[in-house]
Amino acid sequence: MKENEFDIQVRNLLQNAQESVSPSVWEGVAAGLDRKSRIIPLRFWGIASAVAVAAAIVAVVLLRPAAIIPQNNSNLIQIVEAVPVVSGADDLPSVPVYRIARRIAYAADAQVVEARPEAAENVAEETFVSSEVPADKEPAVSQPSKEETPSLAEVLEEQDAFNRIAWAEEKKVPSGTGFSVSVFGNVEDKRRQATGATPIRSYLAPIKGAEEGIYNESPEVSFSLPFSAGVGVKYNFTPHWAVGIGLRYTNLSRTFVGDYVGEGFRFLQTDIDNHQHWLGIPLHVYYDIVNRGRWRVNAFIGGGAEYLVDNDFLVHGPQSDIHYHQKNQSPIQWSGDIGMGVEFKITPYLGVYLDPSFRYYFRTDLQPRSLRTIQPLRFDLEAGFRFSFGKQ
Amino acid sequence: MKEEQILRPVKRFREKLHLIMWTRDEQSPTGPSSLERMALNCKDGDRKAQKQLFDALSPKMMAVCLRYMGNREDAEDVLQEGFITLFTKIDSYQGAGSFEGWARKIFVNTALMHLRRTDVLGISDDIQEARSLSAQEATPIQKMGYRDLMNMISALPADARTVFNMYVVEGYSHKEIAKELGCTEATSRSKLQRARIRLQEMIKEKG
Repeated sequence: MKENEFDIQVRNLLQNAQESVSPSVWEGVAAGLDRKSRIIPLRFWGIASAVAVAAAIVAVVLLRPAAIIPQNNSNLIQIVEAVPVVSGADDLPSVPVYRIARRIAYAADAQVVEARPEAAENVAEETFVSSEVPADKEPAVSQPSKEETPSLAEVLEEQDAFNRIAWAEEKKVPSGTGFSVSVFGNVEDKRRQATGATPIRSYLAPIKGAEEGIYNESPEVSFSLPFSAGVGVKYNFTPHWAVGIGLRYTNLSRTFVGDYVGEGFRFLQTDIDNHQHWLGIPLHVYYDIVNRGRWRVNAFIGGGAEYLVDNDFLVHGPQSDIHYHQKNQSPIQWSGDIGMGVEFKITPYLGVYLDPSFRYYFRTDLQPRSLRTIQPLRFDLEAGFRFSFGKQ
Repeated sequence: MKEEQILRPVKRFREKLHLIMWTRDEQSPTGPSSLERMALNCKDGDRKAQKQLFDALSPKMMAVCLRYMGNREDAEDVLQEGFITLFTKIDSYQGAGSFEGWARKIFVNTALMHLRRTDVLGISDDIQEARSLSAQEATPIQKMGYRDLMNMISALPADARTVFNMYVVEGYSHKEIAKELGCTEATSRSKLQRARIRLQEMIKEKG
């Protein structure tokens, strides 16, 4: 008999073969499908929330007020500048005073003529370049020379300068010392990804003398993206330096296959979801590198202490799921971090900020298994809202 | 929004219409098989329809899983995971080929994934020249029962059993097997030949 004849005979015998199937398989399939249908909406809402927040930030940036504050004449721009004020008394705070230094007019063809004030008066002269300008305005302006005619780019630059000053003057932007409170959320990177867990296999009597717990964890683990949320207080004790402290909740999750021994029974090689709930106190020192107008860029260094409040295991049994809360025997988790942040002020008292940083977790070998124990150096992205108030 | 998402309701309607029309004419040789009709009903995630498809398909797929895994416990694990994958991905079945063939691929891939995970495949490229079957060694298997043959296949080493199943029963080429298992084509040939010879020996011993 040739090889291919042998193959054909085997194929004919096996191809349409059927085997009996245990009813527990369908129960497992139905349970697995239920679990999947619970996960997908959560993912959807997570992505939808992230998109909504990103859209809101973009909208705020793009739709912020126009650069020009219109005057009675629509072709007129008002430029203000700071004027030093000598109070004569040392105990009085030095507060910058702003005045309207000059107004410039521009024509539609981008030829701009301006008049500069000759004296420090509150309102400077007005200049018009259009031939339709009323004749009675003309004497107030000297004949503009070629060098005095700025380009449109220069005008726009001046507008920007004007905006920054006007923002500070009219909105009283907090730019010096003072308190701020932030509400934030963090996500860490997730570089470790293992294959999914295998399904439920057995339901057996427990081993005598074995304590309730999780045993024989498989090396294959699927980690979820770690996330945190919290509140913080930041105090600017000089215009550049600040300290911040907060309270942060962190959730670390993973799914793996392992044995669970309970009271009077045990599950072998079953799916287990582990959720670790941590509470921590982060402490940072900030240095403002840039603090102009609506933008603030800073560098920060610090650390934190975290305590494992609850170590929850959800064991997926053949009929129902079981929650097992493991006793916490792990010490406080210390970490150190360094990063740079950027803040954009939506209003003088409310800003959005983004603080990316690198964080290192110390002595993770003493902690329950998580992404941190596998990879102690992690990238962290904190984003939130900062409310500023207090002495300015 | 992707074009595919926009057209999905139209496509669903067309499939339903197609289903209604063919249901009226069950005898038509070109109409969808009962499995394909069940599969279409499952696309909305209807649990009753899923159970119906499971009942119809699971005995055959259990045989496939058992052939790859070699024991009932592991085969049921693969069967369960395979069905979860099948119902999750059922939207991607376009109705172009046979549904059973499409489903079979899912179960074979799930079985291969399990074998890789447990590292029992261990396919190495140590090619030993396996001899060809001689006319004297070859034994007819017409008188063999399905159960006997399954027991013999289960007794083969996991790597040889996998290559044998893929090549002989599923009809994969050596190139496809090599790609799937991460070995060379020569290794695949060698494992197949060893599996054939071992099976022949077992059949002879039995006979």
